[in-house]
Amino acid sequence: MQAGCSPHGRGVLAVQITQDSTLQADPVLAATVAEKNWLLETAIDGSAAEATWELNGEPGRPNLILRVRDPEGYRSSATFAPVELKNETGLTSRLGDLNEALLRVAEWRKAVDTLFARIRPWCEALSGSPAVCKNINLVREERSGEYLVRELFVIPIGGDRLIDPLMVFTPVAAWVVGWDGRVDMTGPGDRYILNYSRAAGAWYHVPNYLPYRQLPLTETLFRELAEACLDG
Amino acid sequence: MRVTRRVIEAGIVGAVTDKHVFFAQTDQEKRDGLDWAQSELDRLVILGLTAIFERTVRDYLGGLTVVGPATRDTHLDRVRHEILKDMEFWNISSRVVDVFTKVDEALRGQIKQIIAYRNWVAHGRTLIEPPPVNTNPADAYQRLTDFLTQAGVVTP
Repeated sequence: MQAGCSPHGRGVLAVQITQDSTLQADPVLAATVAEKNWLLETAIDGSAAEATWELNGEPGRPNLILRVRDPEGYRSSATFAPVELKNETGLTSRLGDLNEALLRVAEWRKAVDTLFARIRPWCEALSGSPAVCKNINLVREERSGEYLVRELFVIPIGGDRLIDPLMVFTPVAAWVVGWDGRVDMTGPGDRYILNYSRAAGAWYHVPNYLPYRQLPLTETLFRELAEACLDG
Repeated sequence: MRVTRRVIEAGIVGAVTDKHVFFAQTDQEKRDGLDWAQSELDRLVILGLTAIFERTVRDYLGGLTVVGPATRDTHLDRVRHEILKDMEFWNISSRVVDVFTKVDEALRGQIKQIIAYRNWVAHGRTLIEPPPVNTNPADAYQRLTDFLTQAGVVTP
């Protein structure tokens, strides 16, 4: 089922909103959901290109999963109880939060990509001249639901990232206390945390011992961390 | 944990005996197990730090002169005792933290986030729901300490 026009006299929706077959099999709920499409479109316009409502959950306790795809093709999701659709104010608030979360995730992905572009030559310059490859990882956070983001693998030349990764850079979260994102670098020797500051537009490492220090990520610091990380 | 990781990565035959949880596991299972253990330890450290923080703040509030010291007047001491008992039930996030108005508002917000993270750990939802926000022991320690210092609860 695809949304056409809003019940409020608006034109064709800019966001393509569909329902999965399970939801369509419940015509009453499907109609209730479709009535709210205009609200969804208003809330997520600009942050999403496609949205799909899915019906999930246990019998008697159904859940509605809203899966959205942003203009760059990345997907995120959020879970709603059907009863939430009855409260327009509450639903508007939740969809607004979801929209903010989607925009935040999009910004977070860019920050991660910028970090990976910066450290890639540093990785390739490590001892043994390893190779670098990327993969897509699924992250689940409370505010955004599930979303996809790149992770970076450092592997031996000719190696396989699944079998013998030397070091992995994994985006852990965009919502971090006091920070605007966290990427873990993990190797056989240890695991280190890199934190992103949106205000500074920079990455920092906080050593796991006192006194507390926020060290800007430089090539020299990166090499020190990477060597400790790789020292298995 | 670091030693265990090194033993596993070195792949020394026979180093992991049948008394060890990693015995007969694949390398990937061992790595995943260690990563999980590290994350679990981090979570428990934050749980402990937050408990110490909360106790420290509540003890400080109970000692304020607005509550007053114990007297020999049975009636006044009963009232005082009931006030102190009530204060123990003040919600740490929604009531206690905001009592400290001289603490930077952003820091108060971060403390509430750490408490939300602590609640997520303590209520055992770690395997079902994602955390409301992410943090790590070093950051949590520093922000909790900053709060206590700014609030005048502890001296730097």
